Amino acid sequence: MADTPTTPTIPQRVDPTLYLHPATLARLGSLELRAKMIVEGVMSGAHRSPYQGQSVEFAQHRPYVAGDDLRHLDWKVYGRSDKLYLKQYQQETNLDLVVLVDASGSMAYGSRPFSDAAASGQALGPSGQSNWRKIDHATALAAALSYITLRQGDRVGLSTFAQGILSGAGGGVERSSSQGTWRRIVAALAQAPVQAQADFPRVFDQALGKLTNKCLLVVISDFFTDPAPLEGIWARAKYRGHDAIAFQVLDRAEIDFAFKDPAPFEGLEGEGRLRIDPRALRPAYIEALAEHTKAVERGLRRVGFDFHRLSTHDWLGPPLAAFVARRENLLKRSKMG
Amino acid sequence: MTFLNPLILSAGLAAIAIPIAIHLLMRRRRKPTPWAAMRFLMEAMRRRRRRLQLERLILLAVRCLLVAAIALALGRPVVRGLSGDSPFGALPVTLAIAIDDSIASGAPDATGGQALDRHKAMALELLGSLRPDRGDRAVLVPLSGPLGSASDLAEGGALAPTSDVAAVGRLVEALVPTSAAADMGGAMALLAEQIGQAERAGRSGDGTRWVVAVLADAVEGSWSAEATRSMATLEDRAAGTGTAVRVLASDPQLSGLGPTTDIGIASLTPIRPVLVVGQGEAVAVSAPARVALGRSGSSLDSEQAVGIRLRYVDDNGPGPWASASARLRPGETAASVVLDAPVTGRPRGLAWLEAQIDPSLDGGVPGNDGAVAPLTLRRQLSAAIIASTPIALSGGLNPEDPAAWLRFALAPDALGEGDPLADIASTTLEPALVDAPRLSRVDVAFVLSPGGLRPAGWQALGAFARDGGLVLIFPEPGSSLAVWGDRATQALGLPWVLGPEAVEHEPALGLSKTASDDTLGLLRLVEGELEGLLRPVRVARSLPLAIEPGATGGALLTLSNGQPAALVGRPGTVSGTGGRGLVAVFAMPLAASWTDLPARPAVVPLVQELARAGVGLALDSAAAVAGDRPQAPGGAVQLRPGWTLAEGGSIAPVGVDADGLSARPLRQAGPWLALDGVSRPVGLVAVAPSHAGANRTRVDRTQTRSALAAGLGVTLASDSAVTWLDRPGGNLEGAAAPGVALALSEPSLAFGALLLLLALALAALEAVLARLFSHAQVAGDTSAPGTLAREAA
Repeated sequence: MADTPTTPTIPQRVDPTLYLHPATLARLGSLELRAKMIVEGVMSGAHRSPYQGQSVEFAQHRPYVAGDDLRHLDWKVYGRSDKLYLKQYQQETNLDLVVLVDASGSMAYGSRPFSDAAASGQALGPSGQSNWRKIDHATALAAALSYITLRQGDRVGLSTFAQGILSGAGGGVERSSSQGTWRRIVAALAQAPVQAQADFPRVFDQALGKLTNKCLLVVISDFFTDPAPLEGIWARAKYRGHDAIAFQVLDRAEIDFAFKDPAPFEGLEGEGRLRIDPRALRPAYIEALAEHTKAVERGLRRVGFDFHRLSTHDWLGPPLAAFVARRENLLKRSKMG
Repeated sequence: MTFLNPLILSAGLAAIAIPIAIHLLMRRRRKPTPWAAMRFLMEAMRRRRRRLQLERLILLAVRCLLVAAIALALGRPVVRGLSGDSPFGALPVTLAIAIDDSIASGAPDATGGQALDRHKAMALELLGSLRPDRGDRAVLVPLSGPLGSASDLAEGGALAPTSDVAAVGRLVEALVPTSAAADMGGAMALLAEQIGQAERAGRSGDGTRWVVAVLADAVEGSWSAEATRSMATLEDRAAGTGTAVRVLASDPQLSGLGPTTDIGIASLTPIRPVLVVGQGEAVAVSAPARVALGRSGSSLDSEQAVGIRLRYVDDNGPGPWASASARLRPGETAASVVLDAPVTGRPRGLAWLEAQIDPSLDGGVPGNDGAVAPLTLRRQLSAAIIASTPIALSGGLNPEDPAAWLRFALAPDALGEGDPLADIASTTLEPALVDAPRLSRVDVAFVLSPGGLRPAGWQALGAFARDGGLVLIFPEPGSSLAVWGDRATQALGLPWVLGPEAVEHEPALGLSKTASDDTLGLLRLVEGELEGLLRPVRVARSLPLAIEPGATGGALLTLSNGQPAALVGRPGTVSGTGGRGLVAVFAMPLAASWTDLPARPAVVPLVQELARAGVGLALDSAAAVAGDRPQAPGGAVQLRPGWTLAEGGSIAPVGVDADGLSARPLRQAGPWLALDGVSRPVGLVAVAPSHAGANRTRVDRTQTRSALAAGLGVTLASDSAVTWLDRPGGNLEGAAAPGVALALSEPSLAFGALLLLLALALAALEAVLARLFSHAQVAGDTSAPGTLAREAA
């Protein structure tokens, strides 16, 4: 993430709390976000690490060899046995959370009034939109995840993408454990240009190439793309040791398709117009959407990644909390196992 | 199938455009909805396209059918020929069209044609609605009167039902307005007779129904109370047969399209029907005539000046017009004027007088705007003086010799009996020698010695009188007893009482012309001077004369005690109808012992005028009113119109029957030429238009209905019993176009209710399909949004 500005400026008009409801924060406060897998990290955290390093939990002793840091010598053992042993501790590794947010044109759709969804009841969003778009919901989700992660002392980074990883204003936020990072993430997402089509293979080629350590990838998108190439993407991420959680953000109108009057529908990504009778097409639409969602989910589950679908009309807290709780349980089970 | 509300039907059918328009409007561009999940819409569209298109088409078709069904139902369709007993059987109908082609039907119509054109159009539509394939037949009765019997029916009619509807249509098209009055009652009687005959022949028992359509303007000329008098017979006769008779009639409102007032020539009377033109060089002669005008209609309260003209026509061609004008004051219905038509050149051949009124002043019926009257041209009149030769007295005129007085009065300036240049040449006949051949050579017979006539003589005299001769009978001066009276009245067919014994008058009575009873107008021309000339005349003795009550004839001269001094009348014929000739009987001979009349100046104009006018009047039966069957001139075998119709077409010649009458009524006014066996003209019959028939006084709907109801009986008392006819394509309230009316008259199956039920069913179907095809029902089933969304999740 070299091209990502380290300290993006936060426009004054963007109030990050628009996207992170205090109630959400309250619910998330008692939970911890843990990676299913142990990841390596430089900072101490709640994540188990195979590396022995700076930690409080003793692991074993080993004989001193020249060059070892004398700070780790166990002076008590030297006093008893006159032998130099070093103390080794079970290192608790850092969790690097990389949030990938889809900023393609389809994410600009939203049927819920902004005031209804925003935490402070504001009527218009930061870019003047009156609707609570899918990208807004993704922003709120990213903010929530970042907040939790940062509270655990882990690093969080953001990348927005469409046809490629976006840069500049509305682009990414470099990984950081600074507590204010989530605000920068909100600010970056608020400025993201929501346009063009998403090119998932290209985006992931770029993103995975920049990740040198194992990370928890959170992909927030509507996944309105061909599901077949996605399977290859997840397999590559898995191969490189990353874990991934996919959040599919859909508007309720997209899920229900409860339109009544015949009207032309115009694609947000340049698909053209289609004049239809919505009520007549509704069953077929819902069927096609379900098939697509299942295909996307199947690809993720195949490599052990998680998939969760969110509706922009639902409050972010309950599904997110349920998700985190479920991850917690999974982590505990794997610990016990 | 016929529609009773064609206008609503067309409007309704046009309304089918509404669902189509809605269908198209639904396709119209609306503001597009931005949408992210286009890929799923496209996929859904790919899967559902065909089915959706089919659903849309089905829905559109059902909606169009729904509108069409409502439109058809409101159009009140009826299918003819269906009845409860045989839902799909055909019941033949016999349509009797009584069409008014009378003089009233020539009235201009608001559309520019004639009323008859309107009747024709309606008749043709009625005929066009018949179905000869199921046995429909047609009868055509033109209403021009008289229609006393089937033989009176014009050749343009068809009384016997015929299935050749096209031929009847051609007859209808060939009709032209006649000059005769309509005989509505006679037509109905003929139809009733025809229906009765059909019933007796068993034709009606098989389901034939009769529809009588009366196509006539509701004006008095066509619907006078007298004309409808015998309409009851239709009901009477039809009632007994059990035959269903349905009556259709022109809506009286239709007559509002024509004129309301008519002015016409009521009569044209030559004052001297015989023109004696003399033997020598041409002399200036004129033909005077009285033209009587009549005005009828509903707006008589205006003053109207009418220009009238009169001319003389003979083989030389028409002479110059003589013009005059008459004024009809408000409320006046009649006026008359005397004109003198100049005669130029030497009169020859057949002659008549022709009168016209200025047609621009009469917006009414044109048929009576002109009239003709026949004239008889004579070089010389010949008189036979039937008298016993008296014992000659020397020394001039014997005052007791009526023949001498008579000869003098007939030819005051003649050279003697048989003078070839005298206007009236006289010969003397011995009473015993009177026979038909001798009488055939004379125009007038003065019977001065009636007692000397033998029965054969009386018979010959009677035949002479009936055949157009003028017979003047005087008592014999030498006898107070008139024993010949019964013989005379019997032979001449006169219901008079003559004599038998003369009555002495002391003091002598005066003599005057009877003003009121001179119905024939014998002495009209000399009326003025005769009054003064008769004043000094005294009658000392006279034979009592009397007319039996109710008999024809009247007093010509009257004594100062009120007794008739002379009777005049038409002789009776064997068949009881009036003969053509004229008979006058005097109460006193031209003898000094009875009266001083022979010695007075009055005798010459009296005798001259009696001879000249009497001869003309004796031939007067050659003038007739349209619709009459006039007596043809002797020797005629055929009557042929002496003119051509302005509007083209032709009028068929009419034969002469054994009684010398025209074989059929002459319904067209004008001069009819009487032709002999070799088509040589032997005389003229002038037919005048029927003035009464041209009366355009309105009869409104109520009056017409009550007239029909009164004429046809109780079954027409209800409103629905008569179906009022509108002109084709008309829009009168409460009336139906002819085709529709005919359909109404039939047992029919009205589909309106059925179609409404169908429309209801279609509406229900539309509602179900619309709901089904709109997929709105998915909201309540397992594929509800939430469920689907959960499933998708």
